[in-house]
Amino acid sequence: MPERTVQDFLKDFTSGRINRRQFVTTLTRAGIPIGVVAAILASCKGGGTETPDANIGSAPVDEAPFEPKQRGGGGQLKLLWWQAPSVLNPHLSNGQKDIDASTIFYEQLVNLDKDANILPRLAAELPSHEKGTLDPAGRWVIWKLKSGVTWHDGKPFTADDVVFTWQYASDPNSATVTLGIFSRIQSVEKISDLEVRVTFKEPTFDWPSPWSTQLGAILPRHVFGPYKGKEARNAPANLRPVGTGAYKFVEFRPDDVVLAEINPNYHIENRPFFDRIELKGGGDAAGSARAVLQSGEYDFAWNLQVDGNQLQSMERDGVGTLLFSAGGLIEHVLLNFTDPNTEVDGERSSLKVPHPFFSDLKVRQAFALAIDRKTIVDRLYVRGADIAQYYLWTPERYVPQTTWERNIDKANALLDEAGWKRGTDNVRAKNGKRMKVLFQTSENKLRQDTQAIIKKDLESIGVEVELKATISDVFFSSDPANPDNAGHFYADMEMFAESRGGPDDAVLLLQRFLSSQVAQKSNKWAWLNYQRYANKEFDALHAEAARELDPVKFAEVVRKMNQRMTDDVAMIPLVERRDVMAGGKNLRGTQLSGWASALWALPFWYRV
Amino acid sequence: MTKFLVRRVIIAVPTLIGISLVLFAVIAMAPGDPFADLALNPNVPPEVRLQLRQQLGIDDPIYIQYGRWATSMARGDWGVSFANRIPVLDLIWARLPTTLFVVGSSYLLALIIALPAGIISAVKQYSWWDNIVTTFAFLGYSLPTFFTGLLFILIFTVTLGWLPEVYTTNIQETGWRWLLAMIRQAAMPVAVLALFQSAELARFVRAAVLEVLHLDYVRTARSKGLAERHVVIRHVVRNALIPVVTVMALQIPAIFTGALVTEQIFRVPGIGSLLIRSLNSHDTPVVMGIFFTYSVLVVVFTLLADVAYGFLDPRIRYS
Repeated sequence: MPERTVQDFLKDFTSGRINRRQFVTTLTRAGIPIGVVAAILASCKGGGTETPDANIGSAPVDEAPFEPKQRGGGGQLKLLWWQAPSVLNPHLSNGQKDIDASTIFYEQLVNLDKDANILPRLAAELPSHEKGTLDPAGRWVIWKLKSGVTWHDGKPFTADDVVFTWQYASDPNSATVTLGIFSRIQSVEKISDLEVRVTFKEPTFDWPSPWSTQLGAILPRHVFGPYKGKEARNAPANLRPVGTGAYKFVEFRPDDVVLAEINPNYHIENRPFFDRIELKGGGDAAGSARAVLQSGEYDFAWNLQVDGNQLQSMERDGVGTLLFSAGGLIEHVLLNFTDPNTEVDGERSSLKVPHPFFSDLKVRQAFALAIDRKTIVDRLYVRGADIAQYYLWTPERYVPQTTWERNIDKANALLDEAGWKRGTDNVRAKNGKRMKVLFQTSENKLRQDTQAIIKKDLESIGVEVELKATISDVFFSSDPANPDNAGHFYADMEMFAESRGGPDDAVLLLQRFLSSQVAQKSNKWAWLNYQRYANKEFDALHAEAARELDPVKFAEVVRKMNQRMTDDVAMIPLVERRDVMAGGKNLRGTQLSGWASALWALPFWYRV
Repeated sequence: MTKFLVRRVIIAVPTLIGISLVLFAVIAMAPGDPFADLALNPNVPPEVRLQLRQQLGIDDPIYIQYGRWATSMARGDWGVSFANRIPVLDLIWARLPTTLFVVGSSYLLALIIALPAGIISAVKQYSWWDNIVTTFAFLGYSLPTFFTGLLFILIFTVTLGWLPEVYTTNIQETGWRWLLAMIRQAAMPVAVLALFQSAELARFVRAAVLEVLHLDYVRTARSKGLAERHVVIRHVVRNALIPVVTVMALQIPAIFTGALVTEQIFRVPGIGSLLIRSLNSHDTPVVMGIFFTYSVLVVVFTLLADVAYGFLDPRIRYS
């Protein structure tokens, strides 16, 4: 979209002819990242000390007959996480449960809502080119911080805390899980008490990250100061958080329950609504769903990876509702490009031995054509999921438009063409080699059911399939001595779901398909390219995307990569998955976002 | 007697060392690590995960890891959890009261049910009472707790709405209301466990009493014209219960380590659920702490059972 048209749209918007949502949707559809759109919006509103997006932040999306007009009075809110939190510092988290529990107490500079709009939280306003707070060349950004914010212990929140958070997270000795996202920053300098300048190592247009991700929470310097580096994991505050959030710490019983109470000095007016929070952890996903949907013992349950039919029937005659959030989660099948059955130099699936049939594009295409994604979605997921055709399926600007096809005849024809003929036992073979695959995944009822459907589909085109399931803590571990994990990939096919780091994370995420990232013995099988896909053109496109600073051109390159991965069958996308949660029927304002923790909008939650 | 005790204690030391060695090897050799959950977060690069592994020392050879654990254990340091650096001992202490309350009361309940049920059904063998007890014992023993647990939830929580299914340590009441809430939330887990344990125990008691019932001295007591009540309580049960005491003593360690499945189903924050969490996340120090406690308790209670035998049965003398 040329600059002039954007200006025209801006005029329409400022004059009120189109509303904010129409404006944002039009521009993002045209390929302009939300960060840039937000910057344009922020600049056109200008002046004023109020946060430009405060109205969006505080207005729940749900239509509600009642909205709280004052702080407190909501009683207790009971949250149920079937995995129990074990530490309350997002930078040292062991998983999503810890990040979510920490989100009750800590806040980021900005949050991303479900449409990836950037909403200021601890930032006073969004940086913009017009105000001179955003470098047009993408090298730096200046954040203005909200004034009058205090930590739960009464100390003021200042630029020092932001500077410290970067130092803390990017110190390799701290061994934080946020080291990766914070080390893209060259420096964070304090300009004044409420202003910091963030300089990036490489120019980028993704300036909201890492402060917008759920891992980017700001820590108080006066609390964590002595615990930077090697001492990081011994800080008492890892278990007794002191944040800026709407709720203050009361008690934490590790692996059991987190208790919080209202923060009377919270920096957003008239918020929050509830007086106390209980986050109970442990148990299983189906039981959590039951406690919210059927018995109503709890107000909200997290991450219900349960058979869709079961959830639906619980919801039907229950007291709760299923809630969905789309964050780009993609359930997909990887085909091994190397041979898992031949050992070379002490490792199988070595780059030196190509796979006997998956190295042939026609075979890969046949597999992709044979798998009935529609049945998987309709029968197992039921709601909140769609057939996937691309690895990146959201935001729209990164997704090319073609439709998915299932065609057994075409698949059979392709395999015939490739020289794989059916034997007397109906299994195809070529040069005495039978077409037999070992198909592995992590243990989970949904996945095993999916495996069964795929097995039937593949058998119908003459492939013998052996299924294998490994418990997920082993399957996803980075244990170099464990041949069953996803990285070793000692199987022909494997399936799992990949999650996203943010709406504009394509460069980071698609490292999974780079030839330089192939998981091998030399890197302890920890690198990201499990399927050992190596394609020079794809590598070149990735390098181009990494250099690109123009968001429109960037989106174009990413669409090309996305298309290439599907055309080349670098993996087989199966299901566009959404996170499934459950909330009581009277719970409002949850504003679930796939780009943030389930609890990012907790200050705005209320009950009717 | 003293000599016997000293000898047993001395034997216990190498036994415990052997147990800990095998346990540690099995746990450390099991594949996986505490960071599986981070593998699919694109914001966490693989180098970070490798570094975290290194920091925890789980890439070291097993004998070095064991040496580290054993030497600090010898100094009384149980180590800290991989997940949050909380001392293992603190984690166990924090959960012991809940487990003792839930599993302990289920055990008491099981005793209260099983002793009379077992004795009566043995004395009135093949009566309708015996048939009922045997049937229930058979059912209770063969139904796994994860099944009865879910069945109870379906009946008492979902359908009738009488009892809560989530066990919480955060009851917002005081005084007798608190007590009532405690009893309500403990009712289902305790009942599930008690059903299972009482079934096992009742069958055992029945068998033990039956064995004694036909001995000569019982016939003598009867022929002396003693009342049947007197014969059963004073002559039969006293002797029949000696093996039962041993079985009970050997089951007590389980009260301290919690009930794995039941605690998980009802979300009871006891030692059993801590063990499951730690096993899943490869939190070796915590898993070792719990298993080792269990081993020590088993060794100690076996010894106690032997000693108790000596007191209860005059025919046995340790010298």
